[in-house]
Amino acid sequence: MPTNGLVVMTPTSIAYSGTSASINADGSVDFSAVTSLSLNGVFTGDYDNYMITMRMEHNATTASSYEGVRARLRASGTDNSTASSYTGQFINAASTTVSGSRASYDFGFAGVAAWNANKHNGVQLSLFGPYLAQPTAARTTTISAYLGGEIYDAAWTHNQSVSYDGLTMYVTAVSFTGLLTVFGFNQ
Amino acid sequence: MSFTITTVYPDGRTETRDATPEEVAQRDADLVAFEAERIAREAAEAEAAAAKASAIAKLEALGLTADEVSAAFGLQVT
Repeated sequence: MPTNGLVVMTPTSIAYSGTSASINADGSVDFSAVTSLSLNGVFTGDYDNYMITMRMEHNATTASSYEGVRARLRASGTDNSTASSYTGQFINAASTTVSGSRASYDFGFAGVAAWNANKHNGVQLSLFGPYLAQPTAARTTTISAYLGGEIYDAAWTHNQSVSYDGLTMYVTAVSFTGLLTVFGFNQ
Repeated sequence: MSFTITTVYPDGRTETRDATPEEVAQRDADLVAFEAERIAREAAEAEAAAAKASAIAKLEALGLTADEVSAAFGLQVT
């Protein structure tokens, strides 16, 4: 058993649509020009809370084609897309403008990226209790390269009392590329 | 629109299959929803920008300088 701290959760499998994705020997996941990426078997009964760190870029080249990367919790290979089951509170800070919004959807949030291709962005996604058969809380903090530096913070909950062992990240009209690692908090 | 899903295992094995009708339907629904959101977002942004420009024009017509508009109302005059 590892000592206290972060433990890499190697997926039991991943599933993607798009160009390519692979599981590295160290448990991280590489993905290139994918429109969806599912991580299976990363949440287990061993740990309650998890963190996903991810660097990514996204191939949108115009503001109108831009979209954030969305997320759905996943159980035994099936995404949960229950209408309005994910509620998010968002804070966005770009240049001197800070804005907020709040809404419910059939998806959660895995991060945003600057819409200019080849700009790199960083995401930290914390998930609290996804494997427990109770509602899940999550927080996605993104550092976007938009305008040279942008903060996008999404606190979101999912109201279904379901045990999830995975997560799907997806976009609809563009694709995204990067590398991620899932960690469990061992204590 | 149909698409394929590839599953990859830690040992490098891969399996590729066609998306199920349910998966295709979900993606199509996601695409329609995203497009509707994009149109609504861009309309809201355009409306906000127009309101901001109108407010600045009215304040300047009252004799306020760009610095005064910025200091008092936080509006950047460009």
